[in-house]
Amino acid sequence: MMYRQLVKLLLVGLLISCNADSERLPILGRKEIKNVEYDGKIKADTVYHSIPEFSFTNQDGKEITEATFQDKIYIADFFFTTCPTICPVMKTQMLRVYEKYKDNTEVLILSHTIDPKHDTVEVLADFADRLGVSSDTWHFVTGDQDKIYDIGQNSYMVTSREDPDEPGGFLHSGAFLLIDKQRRIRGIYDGTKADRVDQLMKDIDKLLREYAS
Amino acid sequence: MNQLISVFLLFILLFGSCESKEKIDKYDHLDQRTKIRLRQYMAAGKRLYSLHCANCHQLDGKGLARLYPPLKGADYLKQNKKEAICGIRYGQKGEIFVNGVMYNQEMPGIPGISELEIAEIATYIYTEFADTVQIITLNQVKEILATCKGDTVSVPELNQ
Repeated sequence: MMYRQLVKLLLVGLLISCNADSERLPILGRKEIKNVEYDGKIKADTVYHSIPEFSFTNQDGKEITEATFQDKIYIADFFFTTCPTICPVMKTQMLRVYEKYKDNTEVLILSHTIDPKHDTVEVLADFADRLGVSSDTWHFVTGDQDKIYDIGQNSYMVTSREDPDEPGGFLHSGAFLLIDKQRRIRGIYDGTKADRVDQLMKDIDKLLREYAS
Repeated sequence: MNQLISVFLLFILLFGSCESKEKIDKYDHLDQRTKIRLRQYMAAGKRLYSLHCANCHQLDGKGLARLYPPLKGADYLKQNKKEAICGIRYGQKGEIFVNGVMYNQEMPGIPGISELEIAEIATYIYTEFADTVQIITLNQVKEILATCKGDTVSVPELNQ
């Protein structure tokens, strides 16, 4: 009898956890209530935080803008090629994400260098080639330093500012950000921890299901 | 209840069999004193390795793609002990060939590291990844470091 009850309990538990799993991912960032004109009437509407327009150059020397990510979800991070501390760990982890989604054209990866002076198009091309990844899925971008820092700090909400005291010369957070097709942030994950990146991959699947239904 | 007991027995059997499959100790050929010392070096070396080296070379020593070279089974380690040990403190720069593959990512040194810590890391790397089962002693490290005082190690010509 005990045994049967245990099985029942387990089943109920499973159902609950399945339900929790089907919940939508949160939309992160500050939201604003704005008055918008709708059918001639002024109505209050919620405007979510989203990634603004941008323009950077990828490892192939091609211009990469928000249009590159139209109808895509993507994972963004900030790194630099000569970083000896957390970047190699982040890249090891991001490589797992790449391997899982490289054949899915709906998923892209966007890695911004925070050391564009050193990380030129040529350096990024060599880095991507050595990592063995294709720009069909994974864009490594360089560009105007101020614009990279601005979009990192103010739009992706991650710390990526210059700090000469840190090993490697920069202070940065190691975050992976999951961005949806409306360019809204749906998750922030510690890109240096395998279990957080497992969660990211679960959430990518969840987000893909959101668009599939 | 009977079921429970049989599950329990099965567990005992499983764990019991794991226990009996103890791997052959690779230190067995060493005398007792060396064995104990080597184990001390290995324990400290493993901790230091995961702190200073594993980010790039990975915990399993296999490196990352063509970005960071492997240590596991690396011909470079066997042929360039001096450079490897100097590199731990002073870093390394320039093209380097490991098992026939060219790598070119600057390795930063660890400026504050002590000679004993270098000996522990080197012992760990050589015993764990280069199959040489040996203590790289403090004196050996001191001797080698005396030859590379100063700057980033320049990588020697391709040894093949």
